[in-house]
Amino acid sequence: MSGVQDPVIVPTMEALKASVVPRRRVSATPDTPGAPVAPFPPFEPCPEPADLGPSAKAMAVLRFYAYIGNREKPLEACWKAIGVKSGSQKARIVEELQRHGLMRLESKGRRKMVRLYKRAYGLLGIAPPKGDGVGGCIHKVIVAQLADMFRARGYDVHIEGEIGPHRKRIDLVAYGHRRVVGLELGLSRVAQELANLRADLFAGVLDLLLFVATDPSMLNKVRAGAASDPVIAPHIHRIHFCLFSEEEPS
Amino acid sequence: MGGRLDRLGDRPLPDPGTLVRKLREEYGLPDSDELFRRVKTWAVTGNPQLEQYIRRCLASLRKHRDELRFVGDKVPPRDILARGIPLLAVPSLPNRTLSLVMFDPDRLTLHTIVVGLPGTGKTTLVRGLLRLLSKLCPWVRIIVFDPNRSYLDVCTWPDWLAARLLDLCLNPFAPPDRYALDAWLSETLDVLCLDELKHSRYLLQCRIDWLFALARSREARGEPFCYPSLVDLRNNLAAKRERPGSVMERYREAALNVIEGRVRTCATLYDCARGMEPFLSNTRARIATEGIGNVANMEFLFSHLIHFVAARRSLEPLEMPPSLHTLIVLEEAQMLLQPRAEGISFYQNMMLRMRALGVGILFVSQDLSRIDPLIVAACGNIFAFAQSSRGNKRAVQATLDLSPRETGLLGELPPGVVFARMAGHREWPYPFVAHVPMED
Repeated sequence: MSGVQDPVIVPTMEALKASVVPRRRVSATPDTPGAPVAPFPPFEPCPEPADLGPSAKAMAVLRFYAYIGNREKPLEACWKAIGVKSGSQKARIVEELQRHGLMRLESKGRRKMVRLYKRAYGLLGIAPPKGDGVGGCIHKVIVAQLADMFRARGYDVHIEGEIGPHRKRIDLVAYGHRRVVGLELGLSRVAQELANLRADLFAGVLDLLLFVATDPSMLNKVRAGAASDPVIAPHIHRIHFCLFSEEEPS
Repeated sequence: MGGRLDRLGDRPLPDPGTLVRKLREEYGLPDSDELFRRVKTWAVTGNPQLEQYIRRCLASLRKHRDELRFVGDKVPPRDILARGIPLLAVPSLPNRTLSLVMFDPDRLTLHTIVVGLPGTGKTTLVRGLLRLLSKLCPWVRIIVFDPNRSYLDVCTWPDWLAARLLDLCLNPFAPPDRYALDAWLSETLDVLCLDELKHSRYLLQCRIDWLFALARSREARGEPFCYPSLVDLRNNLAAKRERPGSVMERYREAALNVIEGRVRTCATLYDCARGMEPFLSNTRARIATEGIGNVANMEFLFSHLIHFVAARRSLEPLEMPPSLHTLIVLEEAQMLLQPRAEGISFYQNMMLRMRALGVGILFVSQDLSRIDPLIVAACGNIFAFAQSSRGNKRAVQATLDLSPRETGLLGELPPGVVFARMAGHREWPYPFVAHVPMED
């Protein structure tokens, strides 16, 4: 049997009653069942108290996306992380966050991303991030994946890094032991991508420039344009054209 | 006798190992019995006179066993069940007397179920257990839910606190000391939204968040912090409506109806900022629940209290293996634990969690077949008194792993005789017939 343990103290009923902290009467509706029940007031939108913020789950979503490593993760990853399974509950949380003006939802294809507004960062008490670039959510996701691949190979990676004396912003710049690699992700127009390549080469700091596209026709067009471009053609040996597949990134 | 011995003389004796096991398990002889020494000597020497002696002893034991009507296929030796409190008696075969066997109270942490027809001795067994526990294990906290006033004379002052439902005050939203509020509220919502309110969980969560924010804003203005209660939630649901015709409005109406019913159970039960749970979970108390007619209300009360006990106990240093710290007795358990698709997993999870915390639950019920198999599977001790219906016999047979002969006995057991099984017991996991000592 068990050893010596705390003995049981049996209180009196009076002591038990004395331990109760009475409730504060805050409502106008009757508390006792026997009392006459007043008719329900007409519908009015619930006045929110000044200090009442979003619900706990909504705050969990904000905290998830405020973390610097999670900003490019899809919404499903957030639901999994905070333990929300019900579809209706997900919809309510998103609706609540949008109603409070804390975020907007970006969707492209099957992915749904969350972009927090500055108000959300203010609610969390942290400074909003800087230099996220101007690309869409898919652009960010792919750049983040490529950044992980460079990091895995030992590079010092800067997303939306600035290079050269004119502080040209490039999608990704990776500083390795022997060389500096720049990366341009081509998701927009061919002319725009060629202009980007020109500016990157003009900065004069890159040993190698990777042009990555997810569309083979886009890749071929940019490759052909680069070969015939008078500025890019002399440096074409420093440019690698790569096709990126989300299913099998390599 | 002569004829029986002649018949035995035709058969060869089993090998010594089988013989020792047979003597120990089927006839319940303790290790100290002289016969074991003789068997060992016979195994070494092969002495024919010794063999004849062993044959005679076996015949005598078999004769005594045949004369005992209510005995299982296996009889526990006294030296195996020799630790604990004297709860049961088993027949001792050599002289056909009843000898007390001990029941380890720490086994109650594996949860217990007592089933049987009315008048067969269920309550007598539990009353005896409560008496012994309060005398021999004074450190054990006990909460008895007593809807039938069955334990009125056992649970008496000063050893017990007798409380009526009318006298209690509980607040499901006030956590135990040092327990994280967020975790507590989340778990309480799980308890509150077990069956009927499962779709209103989000609405209730928002309303409770609102009530807590209100309480905090009052605290910021210098007023003492008051936990919102279930009455506050009811009032909030009644006063603040959602958009007419919306889904949330339907959820609000459903939640209001259910919570109104729970609050109406007793005018003052949930009308406090801090309830009696800290005291109730740390003493020996009998709660008379005859005032609760609605099963759902009783279920909420029971779920809330076991949740509180488990949460409080989880903050204390634990010991391995866990010793019994708190016992919760629930009479008429079949009302709450009927087979159903949802909600029962809460009890199963809670029971499995409580095993490590040293908290045991004892269910008393009439029909085993009306209790969800998940609950039965989570119980380590099973006591089955006489059964009449075929379904119950079948359920008891499957649960206790009875032989066909023992299953036949189930319908004939007299009051006070029980089939007991301590599943997973290190030395005696088999079912056996035991007698419940009569009350003084």
